[in-house]
Amino acid sequence: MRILVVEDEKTIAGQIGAALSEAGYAVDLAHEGEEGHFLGDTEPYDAIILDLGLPKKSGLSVLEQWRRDGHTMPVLILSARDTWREKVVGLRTGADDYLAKPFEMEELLARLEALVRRGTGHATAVLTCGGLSLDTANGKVVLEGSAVPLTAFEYRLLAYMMHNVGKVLSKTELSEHIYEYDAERDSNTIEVLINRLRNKIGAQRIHTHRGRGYQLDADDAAS
Amino acid sequence: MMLHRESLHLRLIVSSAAWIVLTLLLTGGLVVYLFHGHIRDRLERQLADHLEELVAASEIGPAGDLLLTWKPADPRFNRPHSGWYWQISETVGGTVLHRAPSLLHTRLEIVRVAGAEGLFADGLGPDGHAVYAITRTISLPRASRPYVFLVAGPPSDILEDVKAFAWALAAVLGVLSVFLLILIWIQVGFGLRPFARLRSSLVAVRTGEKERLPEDFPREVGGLVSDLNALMDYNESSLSRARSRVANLAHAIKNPLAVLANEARFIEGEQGTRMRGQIQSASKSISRYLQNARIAGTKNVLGISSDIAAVCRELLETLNILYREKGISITIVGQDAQQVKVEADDLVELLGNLMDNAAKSAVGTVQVDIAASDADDGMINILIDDDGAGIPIELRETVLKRGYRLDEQDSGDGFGLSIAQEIAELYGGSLSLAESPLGDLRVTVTLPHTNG
Repeated sequence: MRILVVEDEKTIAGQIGAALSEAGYAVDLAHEGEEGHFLGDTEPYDAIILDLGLPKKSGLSVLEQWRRDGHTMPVLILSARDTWREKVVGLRTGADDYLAKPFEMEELLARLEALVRRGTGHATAVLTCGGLSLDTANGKVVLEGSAVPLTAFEYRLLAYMMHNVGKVLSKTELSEHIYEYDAERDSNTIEVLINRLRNKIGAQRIHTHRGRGYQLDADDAAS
Repeated sequence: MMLHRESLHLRLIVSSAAWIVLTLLLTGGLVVYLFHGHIRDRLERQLADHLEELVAASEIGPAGDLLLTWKPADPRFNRPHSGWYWQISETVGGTVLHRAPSLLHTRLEIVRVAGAEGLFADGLGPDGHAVYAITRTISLPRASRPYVFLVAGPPSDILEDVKAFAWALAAVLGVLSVFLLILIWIQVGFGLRPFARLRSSLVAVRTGEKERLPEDFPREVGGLVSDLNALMDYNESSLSRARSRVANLAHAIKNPLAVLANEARFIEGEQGTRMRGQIQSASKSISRYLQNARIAGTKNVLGISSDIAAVCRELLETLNILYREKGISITIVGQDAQQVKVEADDLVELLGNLMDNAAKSAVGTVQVDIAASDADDGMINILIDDDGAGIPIELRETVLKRGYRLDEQDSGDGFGLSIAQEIAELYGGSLSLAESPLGDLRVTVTLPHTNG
């Protein structure tokens, strides 16, 4: 799962980035409105954390433009402005949640996690696929009752696939959702990661569709 | 009459009516006076003609006595006591030598002579009735002494003519005054139309239908109108300046606090706990006092009006997004399009806090009921109910007690309630808590209605 954080206070942005990485997300940071808008416009984020008081372009106009251009990714506004008028305006402009500063990092993570889940159509924090379950709240992966230790990238890959069970996911899509903007993207690394995952959760759970991509299938996994 | 407190319309009409009636009365009096003079002149000329005729008919006989060769032909001199008389006497009050048949055997007495001899005089007729008379003392040729000639006519002719004329004149002037009053009524209405428009524009501004007064008023009112608009602009801009200062302060304080709070997560032990506690308490106080500073509280200021139902719908939409996960149903019932005298952002803050509290504690249902305005006291009640767990009302009421400091409040709905109460009271309204028929809490907010 890949998150964009648009926040002009670099310290706060860094803190959020670190916390998100630790929670298993790929994170891109933008420190002003125009850059934030460009990234949200061109990269397939699973959720965006957006400050309102941004240099160059205000958070509200960035959000408005995304929505006008048909982008539907979940957006959480994180702002020092906490009046109801601002909440009303922010949410009516197209935000999905609103958190006022100062905030508790745990709360931000919980809300973001809920947004990402909702974005992919999941109602509960624990995603399951056959005997495999992934708790998005604490990042724990359990297979048939026992915990599966995963590296950060393996977790990101599995989390994205668990959010999109049954869909055929191309290597490009997978790498777009697990790597940061400026990361080196080598399509071979996805194959390597898929193989490592197969070893840990069972090879039969991940199908290869030649030339199209990979699919995590609930029915096959159960059989 | 306290005219200065009545309408301009009434003042103008009453004052115009007064001068019209006064002018017409004076005019009428003057015209009647002139007419009376004119009629008298005519009678005097008539009497003078008769007197000259009488003199022409007189001559001195061979015996030196006065003879009349013919008598005045006017039949009125022959009808007894007709009011028309003549007589010729030796001296004023002396022996009467000849008299009109209408006098029978009596004589005319001169009561008062107005001015020189030969001019108009008041006389007394044979039956004691007053007459107008002219008298002249004339020496005829060959006469040994002068004779006094006297001709009289009735004043009742004059009086009747004048009376008839006065009545006709009164009728004409009466019709004229009614006509003038109608014209004045129309003129005053036309002249004061800009004021009527100003009044309806003010109502439109007060009820929120318009933001500002239109500027196309006549010169006399235009200055006032643009001053009022400028005042509203000033109120609005000073409010938004004050709010943006608060927003800047919020930004300047909250970002560093957020950084500190995040850093403190990594400080272990008692030191970390203490630090996190202090940061949290500072954050709360700052949030509360800033929220407090943002309240406009612009009570009774022209142009301040908000639509409750519209604000509720905006908040409903917002809360439906925020509480989407929780799956509660928030409904708004009651009157639509009710305006209250509360600044828009203050109303959003007030209802936002209350509806958010209700949504937070609700299990399945929140209901906002906008009751019909009570015409008697000019207030509107808004009832916010939820079906939540039911924290005892006494506990909640402690936060509404006066003197309860903001930073003493615990988290939860306490602060929302007290800020809502503060806003309501700043606008002359109130907030009260009761048990809800839905199970948990009913908050009733009373706010002043915008009446035109």
